[in-house]
Amino acid sequence: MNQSLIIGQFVPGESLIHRIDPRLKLVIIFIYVLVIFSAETLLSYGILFAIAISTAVLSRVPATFIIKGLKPVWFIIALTFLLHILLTREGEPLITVWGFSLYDQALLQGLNISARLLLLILMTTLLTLTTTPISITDAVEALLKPLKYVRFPVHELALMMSISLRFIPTIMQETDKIAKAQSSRGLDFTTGPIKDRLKAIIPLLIPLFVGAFKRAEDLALAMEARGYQGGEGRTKYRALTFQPLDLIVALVFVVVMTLFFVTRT
Amino acid sequence: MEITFKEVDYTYQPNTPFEHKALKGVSFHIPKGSFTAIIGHTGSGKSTLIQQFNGLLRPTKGTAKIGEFTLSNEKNNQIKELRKKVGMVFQYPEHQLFEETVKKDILFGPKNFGFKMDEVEKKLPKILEDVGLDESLLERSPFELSGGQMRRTAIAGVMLMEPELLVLDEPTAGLDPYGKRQVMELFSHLHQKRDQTTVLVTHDMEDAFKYADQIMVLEDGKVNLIDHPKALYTKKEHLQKLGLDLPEQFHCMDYIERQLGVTFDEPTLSAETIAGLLSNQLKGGDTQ
Repeated sequence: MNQSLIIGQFVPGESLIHRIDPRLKLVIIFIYVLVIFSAETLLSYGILFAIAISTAVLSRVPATFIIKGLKPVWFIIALTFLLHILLTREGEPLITVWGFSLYDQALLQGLNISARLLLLILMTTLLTLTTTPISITDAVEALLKPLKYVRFPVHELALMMSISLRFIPTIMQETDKIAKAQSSRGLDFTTGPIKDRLKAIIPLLIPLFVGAFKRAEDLALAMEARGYQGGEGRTKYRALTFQPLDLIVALVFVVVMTLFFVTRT
Repeated sequence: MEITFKEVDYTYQPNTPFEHKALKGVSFHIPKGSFTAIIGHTGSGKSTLIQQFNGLLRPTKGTAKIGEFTLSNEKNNQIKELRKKVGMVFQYPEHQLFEETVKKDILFGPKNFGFKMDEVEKKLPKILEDVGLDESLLERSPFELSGGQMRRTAIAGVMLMEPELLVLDEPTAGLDPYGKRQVMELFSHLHQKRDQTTVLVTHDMEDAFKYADQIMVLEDGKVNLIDHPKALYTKKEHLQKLGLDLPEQFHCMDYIERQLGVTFDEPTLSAETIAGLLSNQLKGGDTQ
């Protein structure tokens, strides 16, 4: 199992953030992500960071866990920053070292993009950390419902999403199991030349595929046996309800966003 | 291969909200050439424990000695040497098959470990006979075989490497009673025939009693009991308190003891032996 990356993981909890209606969460994140790209002033960035940090604190997910979990992401952010500094040739040169000059615009842009990237990943990670995949799927289905009128298969899409999400942990476990079985038979995934390592994936992939197809067949059979038919007239086990809490959260968000647009430029 | 664990801890995903301590200060000794059965509930740490035996998992704390190899928290670069000597039969070993033909799959392990292939191929017919696979199947695709044949193929691949330590993780799960008995008889036979140490993880108390010469009960990541198989009978109350199922024959003997006031000196699984002992005691006027 990959323990270093937490994007897409869910941490169970009872915090305020966990309890917000997933539909609202999804809408908020969507607006937030769009808005990130229009931030320009220091103050507007301050507001965006304040939202992200207060969400992180309210979610009660340990800060060390989030920071450590985003380790691979830090590297990407640093790389982006570096590339911007090195490649942008605009504005006034700030300092010149060995014939290479650092431009003020380059520094600004580098900071801009890095901050945006960080906010983007932080907020979306917080979404998945505090929302079960099933709730996210339910929310997507609810939000896409209007598309039904143009004959878009909303329910089928949501079903596909939830099935694939449901089986990610199962397939991860299976991968782990098969990798261990093959390692016991002397297969080496971690050392040796790249060519050998790529070849070592075959004994892992084939049993995994065989298992996945078999499982898909079993699942289809089980659904059919229970008379599953999607779409029309289906009720939900976990019905989404808009609580007073959600109203407050929505209002706070609207206020903060207004503040943001005032300070944006 | 001799196995000695000293105060071994194993923690899954340490320092995360998902942290889980699977083994807590596990110490035990498995002598060379013994047949040890490990019993415990789902989640008692059995699978975590046996994965230490060939270095798939490394102790978070403490040391594990497998033969001349010592495993601890530090990386060990002799892992491949260790794995060559430790054969692992996992639960549902048929899930590891992937080659185009049965033969290739059986030879996959020996090839990886650098065995001399011409020697290995000479041994192949004997192994096939041992595990009960027909030679005509060798050129077939492993995915065309029946479930039982697939399992035999996987077992043959492990046996061909003549491991010094054979670790079996519920090797009979999902087999029918006949297949179960056959597979267990095979392992028992191989254990006696070869100079090998066997560790069997099982839920089946009957198998543990019948085949093992040492029994280890794991409970909540700790060694709860390590004893002779006969202890299963003398400590039956303790085991029942742990929620472990005893063989049906033990319940029967227990009932007879309580109802008729006779005592059995030795636990047994054979109905004839029970009947014989019973009739001796009754005829001898031993009842009160």
